[in-house]
Amino acid sequence: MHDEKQKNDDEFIKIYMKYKTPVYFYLLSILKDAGLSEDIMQETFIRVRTNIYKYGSINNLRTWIMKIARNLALNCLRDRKFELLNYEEINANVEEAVNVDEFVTDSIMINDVLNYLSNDEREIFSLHVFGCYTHKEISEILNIPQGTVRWKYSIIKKKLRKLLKNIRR
Amino acid sequence: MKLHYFYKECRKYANEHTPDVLEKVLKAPLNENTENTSVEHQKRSVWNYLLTSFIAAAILMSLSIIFINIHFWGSNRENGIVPKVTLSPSYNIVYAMQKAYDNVKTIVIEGKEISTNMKTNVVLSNNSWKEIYAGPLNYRYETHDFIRIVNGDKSWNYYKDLNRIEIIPSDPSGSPFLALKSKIDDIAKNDSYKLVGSEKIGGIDTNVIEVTSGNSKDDSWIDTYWIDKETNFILKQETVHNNIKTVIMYKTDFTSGVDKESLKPNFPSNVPVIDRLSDFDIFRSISDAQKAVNFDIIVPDKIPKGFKLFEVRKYKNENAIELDYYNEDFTKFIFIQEYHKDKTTVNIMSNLNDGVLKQLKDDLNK
Repeated sequence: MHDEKQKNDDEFIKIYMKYKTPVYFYLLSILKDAGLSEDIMQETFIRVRTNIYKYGSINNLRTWIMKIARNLALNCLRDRKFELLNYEEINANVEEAVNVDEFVTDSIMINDVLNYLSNDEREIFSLHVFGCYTHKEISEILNIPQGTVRWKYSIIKKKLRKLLKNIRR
Repeated sequence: MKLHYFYKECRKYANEHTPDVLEKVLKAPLNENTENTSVEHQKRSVWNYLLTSFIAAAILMSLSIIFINIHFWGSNRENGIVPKVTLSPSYNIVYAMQKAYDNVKTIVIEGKEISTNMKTNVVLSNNSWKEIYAGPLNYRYETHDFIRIVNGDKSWNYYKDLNRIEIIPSDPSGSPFLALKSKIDDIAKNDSYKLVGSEKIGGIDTNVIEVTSGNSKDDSWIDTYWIDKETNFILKQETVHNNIKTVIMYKTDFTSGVDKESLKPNFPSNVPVIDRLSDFDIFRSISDAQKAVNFDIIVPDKIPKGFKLFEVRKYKNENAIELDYYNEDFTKFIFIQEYHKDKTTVNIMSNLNDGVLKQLKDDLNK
């Protein structure tokens, strides 16, 4: 029994080390709050660990973990009355407020970039960049067609190129 | 700055700025059903659980009495008075519910469904139905003006107000029980649920879970389910979407067995019977069906895993066919309808999620 527990813990720690960064930054892209993202990250991995104990292994682990993280984050937004509607409006204002031509900075802050993207784009960006998720996997996590992911990703690239052209390195 | 360099910088930044919660996660207690590391631990878990449950129940009761000024027992969620608290991992409840429905061989299930416009309080529909289920091709579905009996490869549909019985090919997708089972599989698979409390419904203890449904973040809604703690069957379901509230009360009997006589097509002898079976040719393989039509049947390159062709129906008087695919337990279906006139028009219908359906559509339209 103890050997099995140790084996499960070892397996879980491997998973944790591999996914902690993608999970955290994915949550940050949805919640836009570091403390809250950390809490939900913890809850996500508690669920992952419990299921590792229960089943030994999980099919489609990569997408499954992100689905858990996403659902917990959306539940959290709803519970805390973040007002999803206002959330959309706030984001739109942020987009308008950023003047691309004036966006010149030497230190690249990820939060600035995340604010520059819409909610959906942020999710796709963080899954792709931090988790190296494929378009197919992202479409499964977000429950949208692959074509939509491809299309949105091309918009993200265009936006980022526009944003980055003023940053010399 | 090049995009790939920017991504590299992002990853570097992310690796350096990810908080570490490993210690907290490893210290968090696992669910008592899953850990089982030692007898002592099990005993400790049980006592901890009982103590926690008792304290939680006491707090809930006190809050209900003090702040809401109502009797704790029989509190009604519709009045917005159930405290929203997460009591324990909800997936165990959903898992148990899924297993309970999976284990059903025969069941009698009754539903009372009321839809109300929440803005005007106008009742939009008020329906009751009953299903006696003994298998995907052996069930009876009844409302006040309609009876469907599916028995083997035939389905008898009795329209009481039209005073007419039609016999058509059988169809597992017409079973409300299988539709409910399909819904439960979706809930379990999507992991988009949470436990929000517990409540008594008609004297029965239930767990209340909320499920997020919908196609996107902008078009999502909450379904609430009250699940019998003892049997793990659903007692009540409530959906609020676009200001329409639908409440379904379920009455489930899975112990008495089913009356086999009720599954036989015994209808009043004076009602005219129209046999529509002669309108179709039915095939069990695409190759057989292909011989009967003068156009190339379009078949998806990739049918989702676990799906099998159930049958191909050719409409005798039309240059049209329908391919029916079902998964193993007949809860999920894909119907592909093809009609040929100059070119082949394809329609597809399924209760799979939009992502899978879109892939199938793209595949068929290639």
